[in-house]
Parts: sequence; C-alpha cells; structure tokens
Amino acid sequence: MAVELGIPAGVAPETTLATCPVPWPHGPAQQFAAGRRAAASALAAAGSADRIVPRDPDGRPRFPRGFAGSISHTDHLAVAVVAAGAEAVGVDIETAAISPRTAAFVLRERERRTLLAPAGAYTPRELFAAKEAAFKALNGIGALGDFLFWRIELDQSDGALTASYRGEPVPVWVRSEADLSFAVAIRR
Amino acid sequence: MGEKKAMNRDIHEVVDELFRRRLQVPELNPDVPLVDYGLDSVRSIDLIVEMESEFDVHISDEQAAAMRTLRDVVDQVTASLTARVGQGGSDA
Repeated sequence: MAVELGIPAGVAPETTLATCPVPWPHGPAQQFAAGRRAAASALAAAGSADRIVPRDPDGRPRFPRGFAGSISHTDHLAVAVVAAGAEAVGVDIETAAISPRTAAFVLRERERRTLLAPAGAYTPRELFAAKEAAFKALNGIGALGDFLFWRIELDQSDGALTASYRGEPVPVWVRSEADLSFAVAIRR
Repeated sequence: MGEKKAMNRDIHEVVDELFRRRLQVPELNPDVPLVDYGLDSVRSIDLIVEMESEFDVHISDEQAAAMRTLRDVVDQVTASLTARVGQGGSDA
C-alpha cells in the first residue's frame, strides 16, 4: 500500500511523523514491530537519543521523557507521531469502512448532525479516528479515570476540531489519503 | 443450573463463531486477550452492535470495557440476557 502520509495542516511544525509498512503475514506481531520501528524513526527525527519504546503493563507505549508520542497501525501500515515538549499525543489511522450502525454507536446525534456531511466536512471514519486519537491523548490523564473512547465529545469552532472528556479538551487534526483516515491529537 | 450451563454453551458457540469470522482466525483461546488476535476498535464496536442485535440485549459501556477475552464476552452477554429475562419475568 503506497500511502504518502503527512502531518495534517495546522499541527505544530516540530511534530514528527514516521511510517513503516507491516510485513506479511500482517498479524499482531508484525504490526507491533512495525509500530516500534515507526516510533524509533519519529523519535530520531525529533532529536531524541533514546529511541526505544517499551510497552507499559497496561499496553500503552512508553515514549522517552520529553518526547510525547503515539503509535497506530492498520494491517498494512504503522504510523508514529512524536511532539517534543507536549504533555500527550494521540494518533490513529483507520482504513475500515464505518457502517451507519457503528457511526450511530460512536457518534452522538449532535456530532452526526453538525460534523458529518452535508452540514459538516467530515466523514464517519475521520470522526472515528479523531475520537480514537483524542482518547490516546486524554487517557493518560489520571484524573479522568478509565473511560471508553466513544464517550469523548467532538466540537468544531472556526474550522478547528476539539475533542473533550469531562471538560478536558484536546485539539484534533484529521486528514484522509486514498482509503485511509488519519487523526492526531496533541495536548500541551 | 443445567439450563444456565446450556445457555452459556449456546452463547459461547454463537459468540465464538462471530469473533472467529470477524477476526478471520480458525480458533480462539477463550482466555487470550482479543487484541492479541488483532481485534481493533472498529471491529470491536461492530461486534458489540452485532451481539446486541443477535441476542436482543443492551451491552453497557461498563460491560463493553470488561470484554477483554472471549470468556469475558460470554460472561457479559450471559449477564445481559439474564437481566433481560429477569425483567421480562417481573413484567409478566
């Protein structure tokens, strides 16, 4: 899958992104390894000497101090984003089609009415990715406790997308390339 | 007790088939985390919606969050079905 993935417009320029194809047989082990290779590349581009990203007991990747980062993958592509100095980063890539039933489950009625076409500019898959990315950026905030990503709310103001949970906001940027949607959330 | 065991077995067969088909794996160990079989968020929500339709139950957020393995899924669907049957009994 030849996809040129770039940082969405509006994201701070010092944010770094790297991708790595997932080799055959495209299983969880290959996806994990590709994600770590992408993370190492993104960390190198961000200037980190430490490029190892171990897995915490809860499964989350632990990026080196001072280099907040996040990893996402599909069956065929892994992506990592690093934002030096940020509090938390979340990234998500999605290639799956989002059925109307799944969209209705994940998106509130207000989100479907205002953010999806024709009133809004987003696709269900972009909003799904936005909630996933925001969840990764917000999930590390201890005060919020455990929650599910579809509980995050999305709002748009002046063309910018903001995700929030229990009053904790995080800006989210989305873009789509070919059959793939990509979202980045950065909390500073 | 026998009826409950039979219900659990039936739920397990349906859930196992649903998850194997969606994850495209020939076999699922009921105690291995489903993410290890490649379960991602899109497929997990598709499966929740499908199970709600298949079993005519509501799966709460708390139940969804507790579904880490196939055994967890069977337990939570069984709990939802039991609650629904209990509600039906009290209405009658």
